[in-house]
Amino acid sequence: MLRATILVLIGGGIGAALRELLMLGVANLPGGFPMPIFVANMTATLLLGVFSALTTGGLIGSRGKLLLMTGILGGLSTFSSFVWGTHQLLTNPAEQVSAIVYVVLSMFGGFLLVELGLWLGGRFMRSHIEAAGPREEL
Amino acid sequence: MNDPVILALVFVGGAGGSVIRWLVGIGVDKRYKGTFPLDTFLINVSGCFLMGFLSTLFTVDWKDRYGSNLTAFVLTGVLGGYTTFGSYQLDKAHLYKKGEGLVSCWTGSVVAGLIAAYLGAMIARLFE
Repeated sequence: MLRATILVLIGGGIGAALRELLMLGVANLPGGFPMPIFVANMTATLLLGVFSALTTGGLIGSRGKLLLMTGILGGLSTFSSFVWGTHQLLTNPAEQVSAIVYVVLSMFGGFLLVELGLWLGGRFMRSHIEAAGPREEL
Repeated sequence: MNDPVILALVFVGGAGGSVIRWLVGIGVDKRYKGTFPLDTFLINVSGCFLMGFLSTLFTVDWKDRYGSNLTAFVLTGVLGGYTTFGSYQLDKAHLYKKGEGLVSCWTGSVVAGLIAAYLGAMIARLFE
């Protein structure tokens, strides 16, 4: 339990710090589109799909899952800033179009990127198993 | 430049928020055995409520990317680490495969989050 907690602590810290770096380094688009949060969430969904497939395939164990998925990707992605950003854009009539584009792109983009990630991860697992050769026959 | 301080605060807050998310998830999964991803849903909606409440209470200018040490720690760190967009989308991919509850989970989380954030902001205004 202590080891698991430390893995989530370190991972979550790294993920959140990466998100802060995006917020410091990437500007919002004209119209208020929150680009840094969008990039953080889309990156996290793609990688979460990949790592999820690798976990299913047995390449990532329970500790790796806690560090990478629960920790780093959970810390990198954020739902509260996504929703609050949408709320803030919606309250300004000049930015309501951005709000709708932001929600739709985040939801559908995240949907497609998870599927893409699962597919890429599954592909990698299959090539990994093939490369492992006859051991799989046992 | 106080970037290293801000980064350290976000790191510590994000670490704490992530552990809370992990523990809440374990707690919810123990009590609820249905197919709906209730853990992520509850975490994200409660995070949205706190985000609306605290942002309004701290009178945060949402466009100000740099913010103060307090907002970096609490909002970007703890709440950002606590809530997760990734699991929200991954849960949905699993539901999509099973073909059940997709729409309620996918759009329901966003709608419930928006309502929660709105309520949080409204309650915070009572304290002004």
